[in-house]
Amino acid sequence: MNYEEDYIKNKMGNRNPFTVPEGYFEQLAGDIMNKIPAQKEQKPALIKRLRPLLYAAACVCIAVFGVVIYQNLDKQANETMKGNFSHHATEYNDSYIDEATDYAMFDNNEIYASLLADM
Amino acid sequence: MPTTDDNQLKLLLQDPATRRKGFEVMVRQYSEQLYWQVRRLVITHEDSNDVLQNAFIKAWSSLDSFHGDSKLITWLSRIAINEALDFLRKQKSRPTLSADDIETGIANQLMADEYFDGDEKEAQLQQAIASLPEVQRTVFLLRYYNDMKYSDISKTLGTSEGALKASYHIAVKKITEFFKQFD
Repeated sequence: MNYEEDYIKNKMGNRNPFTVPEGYFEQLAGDIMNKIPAQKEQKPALIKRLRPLLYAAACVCIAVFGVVIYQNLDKQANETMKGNFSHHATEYNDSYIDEATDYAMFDNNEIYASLLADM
Repeated sequence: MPTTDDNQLKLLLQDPATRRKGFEVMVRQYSEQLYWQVRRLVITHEDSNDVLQNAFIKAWSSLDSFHGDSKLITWLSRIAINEALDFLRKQKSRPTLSADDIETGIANQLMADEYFDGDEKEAQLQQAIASLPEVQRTVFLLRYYNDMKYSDISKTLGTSEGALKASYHIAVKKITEFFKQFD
């Protein structure tokens, strides 16, 4: 490989056959800078501009979520209490009915006997 | 022209207040080196001028994506060489010229070019280089004329160093064969 590279170097040398117009490199930088757009005031990224709105939206969502949760909990509590009452009411009704049934099964003589027993 | 240290340039480019000034310094410092890299690929002065200017405009637009993890010249070379390769690909796909015409016509084109100072043999050498496949051509030119390290060429082309070494070896053989036909 070195032999071939040396061979090429001997043949090609260091000569550069390409040329440029006179003064080309002196004015090249100026030509390029004229094409570079003027630096504008950078707008903040979209996410930064929307950040206050995003915070507000997040707060609203949390508030709505909180209200919904609270209402659900409240509803559940009410339903639980109703359940308890109805349970107790059932108990009371049942015991009342039992008592009432027992009472209803007394005949008159038994009622009088019970009254006399109390006297 | 006194050169500015890479780290100093990077600092200038990072700060929006000094970015434009830093970019101008960078253009003045590296434009000639980059021009010759482009010229050897693209051949004509007018096309090379266009490609180089487009490359710097692209570099300006991409400043935010440059994280300073490589040398500025490596980063700029990558942009300029890829811009040159894109230009050559578009040139090949133009319907008015076949790929063969482009390659065989280069020697004739150069002999008529006012910005080519070589003889017919040198023109034919340029034709031989231009006939190499893209990677072989690029690695040969960057290695032979710029003495660029394989690691830097690898970053520029996005090709592994092993593949580049193989491509360079093949390119050298082909150029040697070209010269031997005149011996």
